[in-house]
Amino acid sequence: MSKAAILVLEDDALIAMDIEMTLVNAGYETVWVHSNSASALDQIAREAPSAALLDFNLGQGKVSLPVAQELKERGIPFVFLTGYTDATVSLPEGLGDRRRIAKPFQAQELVQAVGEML
Amino acid sequence: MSVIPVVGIGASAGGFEALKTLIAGTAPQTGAAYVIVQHLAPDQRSILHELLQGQTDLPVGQIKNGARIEANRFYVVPPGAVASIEDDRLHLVERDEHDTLHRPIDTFFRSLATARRRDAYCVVLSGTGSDGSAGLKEVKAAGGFALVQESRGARFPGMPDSAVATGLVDFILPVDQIAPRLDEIIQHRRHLHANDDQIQLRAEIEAALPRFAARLHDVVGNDFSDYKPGTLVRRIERRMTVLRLTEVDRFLSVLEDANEARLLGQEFLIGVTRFFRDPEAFDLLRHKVITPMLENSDGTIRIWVPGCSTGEEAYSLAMLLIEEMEARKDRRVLQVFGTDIDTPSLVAARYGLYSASSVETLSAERRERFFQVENGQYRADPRLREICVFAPHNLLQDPPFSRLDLISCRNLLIYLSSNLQRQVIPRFHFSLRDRGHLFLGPSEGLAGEDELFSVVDKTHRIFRRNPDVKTSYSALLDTPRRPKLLPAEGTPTGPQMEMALDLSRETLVEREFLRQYARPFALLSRAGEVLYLSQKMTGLVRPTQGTPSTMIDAYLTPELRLPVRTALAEAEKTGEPMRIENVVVPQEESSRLFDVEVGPLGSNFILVLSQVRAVGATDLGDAVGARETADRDILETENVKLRKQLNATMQEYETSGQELKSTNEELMSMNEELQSSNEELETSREELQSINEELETVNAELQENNRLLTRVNSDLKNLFEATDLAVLFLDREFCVRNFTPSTVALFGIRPRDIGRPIADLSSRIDYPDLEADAHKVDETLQSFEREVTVSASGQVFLLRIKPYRTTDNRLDGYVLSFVEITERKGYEETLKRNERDMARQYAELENLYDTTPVGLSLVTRDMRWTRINESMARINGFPVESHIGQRLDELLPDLGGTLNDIYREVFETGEPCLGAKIVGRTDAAPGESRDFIADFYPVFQGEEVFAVGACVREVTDQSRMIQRIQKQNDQQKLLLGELQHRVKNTLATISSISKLLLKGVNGAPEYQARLEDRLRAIASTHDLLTDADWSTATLSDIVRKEADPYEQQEKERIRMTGPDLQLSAKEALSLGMAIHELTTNAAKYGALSVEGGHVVVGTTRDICDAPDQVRIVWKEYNGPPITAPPDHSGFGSLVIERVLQSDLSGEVTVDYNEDGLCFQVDFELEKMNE
Repeated sequence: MSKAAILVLEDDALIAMDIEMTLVNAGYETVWVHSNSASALDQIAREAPSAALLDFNLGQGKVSLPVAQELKERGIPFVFLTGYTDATVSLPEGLGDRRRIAKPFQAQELVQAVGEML
Repeated sequence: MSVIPVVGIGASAGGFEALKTLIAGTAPQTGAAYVIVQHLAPDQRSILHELLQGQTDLPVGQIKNGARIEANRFYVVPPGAVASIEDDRLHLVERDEHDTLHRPIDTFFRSLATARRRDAYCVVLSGTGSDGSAGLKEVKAAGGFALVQESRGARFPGMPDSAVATGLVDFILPVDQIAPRLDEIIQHRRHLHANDDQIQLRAEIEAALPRFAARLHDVVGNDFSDYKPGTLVRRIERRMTVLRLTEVDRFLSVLEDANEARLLGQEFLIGVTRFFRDPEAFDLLRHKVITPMLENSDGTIRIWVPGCSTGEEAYSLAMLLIEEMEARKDRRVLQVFGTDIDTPSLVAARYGLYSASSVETLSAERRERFFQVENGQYRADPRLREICVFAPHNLLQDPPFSRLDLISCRNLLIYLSSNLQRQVIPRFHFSLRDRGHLFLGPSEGLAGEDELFSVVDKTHRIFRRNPDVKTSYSALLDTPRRPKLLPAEGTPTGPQMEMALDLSRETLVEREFLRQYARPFALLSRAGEVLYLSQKMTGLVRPTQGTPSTMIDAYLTPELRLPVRTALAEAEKTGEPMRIENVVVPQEESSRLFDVEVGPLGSNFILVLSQVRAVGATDLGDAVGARETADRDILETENVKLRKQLNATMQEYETSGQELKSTNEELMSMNEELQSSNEELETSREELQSINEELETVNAELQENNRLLTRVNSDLKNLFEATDLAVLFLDREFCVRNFTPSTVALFGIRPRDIGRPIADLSSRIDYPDLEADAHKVDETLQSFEREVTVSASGQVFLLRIKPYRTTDNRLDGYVLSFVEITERKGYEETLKRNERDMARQYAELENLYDTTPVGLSLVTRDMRWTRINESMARINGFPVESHIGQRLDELLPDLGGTLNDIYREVFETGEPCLGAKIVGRTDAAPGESRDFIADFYPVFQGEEVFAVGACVREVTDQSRMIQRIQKQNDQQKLLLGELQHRVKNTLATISSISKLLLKGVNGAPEYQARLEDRLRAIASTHDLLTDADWSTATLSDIVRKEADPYEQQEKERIRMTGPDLQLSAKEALSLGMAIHELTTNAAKYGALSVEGGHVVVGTTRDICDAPDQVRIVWKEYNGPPITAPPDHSGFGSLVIERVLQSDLSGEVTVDYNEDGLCFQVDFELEKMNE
């Protein structure tokens, strides 16, 4: 059972629920689910998570880069969840080295990634 | 190499006519050169060559010293010069003013003979004197030919006659036949020369020599059989040429005629001799031979000259010896024997008369001393003639002379074969005294008999007898072959040469007869002088004492004097012979009785005494008595006659006296008359004198004029010849007056055509309008030009006709000049053609420049256009003309800056700038940015770039297309990304759904059914989205699709109210799922599960005054009553409550009312992009 708080930034509710369920099943009690960058940033400002899972594309042309940036500055580990391959999108400087998990993800992979982050 | 035959023509007084005829008759292509030698005063100006030129087309000119001999030309020896030939050139030497023996013709002929030998021809024409004869001899001796003008036709027959007298002339012809004959011979000889025939002919002749020799021996008596063949062959060949024969057999048959045979024999004997031939040799002779000879020997000096011909050599030796002997006061007897087989020459030698040219070579001293002038010729002094004895003698057949001190045999041995020579030399050895000398000609030798003589001087061929060697010749062993006597063959007529031959034989015989057998005779002159005595007559001569005289009365024996005188007088009177008989002439022992006869003999009289018999004393007395009576009678008769004569004479004298007196008186009166006439004449004379002086002046003027005229003439001639222009001078009747040499190329015209109408002459130019043009010129007095062509050769000439004006400005004809302009015309044509070509090319280029779709321009250093084409102008948006001279940035403000930079770069570096991309606006499409690709290249003038050319293409459309494509690519990338995202998302969603559906499922089939159901719903929403390219879907479409399986035909179970909503993809998918859950639940548990139940879906916009705030309400009616709220944890609730809320960022409320479910969602519609 972990006390870590995991931030999940995902605009698709079903996928968000899936992730939440997976994490909870994996033993992580605290999972904050947000569907847009603004509320996620609010969250971080209020209380920082221990790690984060960021969906790259948040719909309507928005991406999660500002949140990633914030997390990076805070030194909070995070991982990108994305349908984009390397070919279709390249991450900007400084974020290119972050781990990416492709959708649809496998529960194991997700849990493992989180575990590594913590 | 063929030698050009040379014909020497000698002419003097009266020769001009002859020359004209000769020259006019000379054929043009004989291949010979002709040299005319005349007698001219040295300072006399001669225009002979000019006058003669008019007679022929062959060039006639005065000789220039050193001129090379050319065929078919006449050369005239200029006055004051003497001509000669050496090798192939004519040489002139200035004439010696003081030379009285000026014989230019002889001199030239001699030189001709040496230079040309058998190709020498000499012609002697009218003239006085005998110039030419000696030279002719030499020409003949050298193998040449001699032709002489018939003296009958010659104005002055002296020279021709003298030439004929040599007996060596080949042809004596009237002057008009000379040239044709010459031509024949030259051609005949040339023909021979040209072929190998000549060699063959010579071979034939040589082979036939024995037959020739046999024939000649028969006729002439001389044996030529062993002579050297060379000369004989040549002489035979020459004779054949003269007779124009080419076959030996034919000639032999001609020789059947004895005359011909004799002529041939004469040819063989032609020899040339001169006084003191080879003077150095004679000098040497004097030193080495004569001096010792005079010192060492005593007794008579005897000299033999075999082959003496006409005697010059013999006389030369005689002169030499006389000089030496007189110098030493040696008074011995000198005898010089000259022998030859050619009797005519001997006759001439004996007579001793030589032409002036023969004695030319002698020193004046010798001439003076040894010769007397006789009618322009030189006769050897009697003393000389006494010393020299000439006799016929055949060196080979007759026994040689003996006891000789010197034998001079020069230029005889060369004619003999070595066999013959070997016979001759021993004879010489025999003939000479102990240490006598032998003098041979140059290049003659001892024929191998070297032991017989020792050499004194090798060069000059002087030998001395070797006394130690035994003579091999013996006269006794030699069988003399005397020449046969000539058979009597009628009186010889024809050339003197024949006569001479006959004469010699006759003379011999006759002389012998006269000497031995004839009665005493003498020749008397009309005056009674005894001119000649025969041998026997000498006994009847008794000169009277006192001054010797040869008058009959003083010379003959007294007994003969009277009878002879009488007979002479009678014969003279009657012209018939007169005989006086019975004249007693006492002789040694007895007296003899003679009959005296005197008869005419030409202009003299011949006296013949016929001895009657020797008379006895008694008879003698009677005879004497009779004689005395006869004498007395004669004397008395004569006395009476004389008295009568005296009376008559006295009467005559008286009469004469009277007559004389009256005559005297007449004469005296005449004298008076004459005196007055004389005075008149004196006056006239003075008048004439002054007239004369005037005339002198006039003459001087005229001479000067003449001189000027000559000069002008020659200037004109030179001008004519120097000019290449063909100029033709016509008189008013279009007759040729003069022309330049170049005209010959256009008109067949010659100097002799002067005076003929031009129309008569052939013309290569087609010019029918001559008269018309000439008239035009007459009228306008201006020159007139036209072009004429020679159709045959394509030449074009510019013909200019000008009026011919005399110096006093009178019109007197026309001057036509022809300038060849063929080349010029050719150039003109070419130029025109080139111009046309160039114009065409230029037009093409201009057209190309203008119409090419590429924009072209040329800009100078000051950034101004100097050239621009249509395309570029269109690009810039101004007409072409407006560009020229304008600055770039004035017309292209937008592009100016860029362009200036580029242009400057190119101007500076000289490097082209290719493929520059220019983007900007031009006035052609204001406001529109256009793209261009431009090339800029420098144009050099020498080293400097003076302009830059630009080549511009508009590529706006292409750029735009590229941009569009770029954008499409970007879009595509984006879409691809989107697609990938969506797919991934869909997969992730399905993954999540599949996990969520696991909750509360019983078994796999059920799970599968659930999953299938959800997937189908998502798929149908996908379909809707796909129809709208995944941009949007309407709520009504979603609802319809969901409602479709539940709808019955008439009723609508799910109804819609309110405005339709345009949803985004995300919204559509979420709502799609939610509507599906609601519908499924309604179908399972709600209004749709029972009949009569229905659903109303209501939409509202503008909630709270925001245009995009909307509300959707799902209300169910007439469904089964809901007793207890269902479980919220099923997937459907999850979707309806949580997912929809999250996805739409809205509010969801679900009320489970008694009469049915009521679902409500409020949210903000997403803004849609078009």
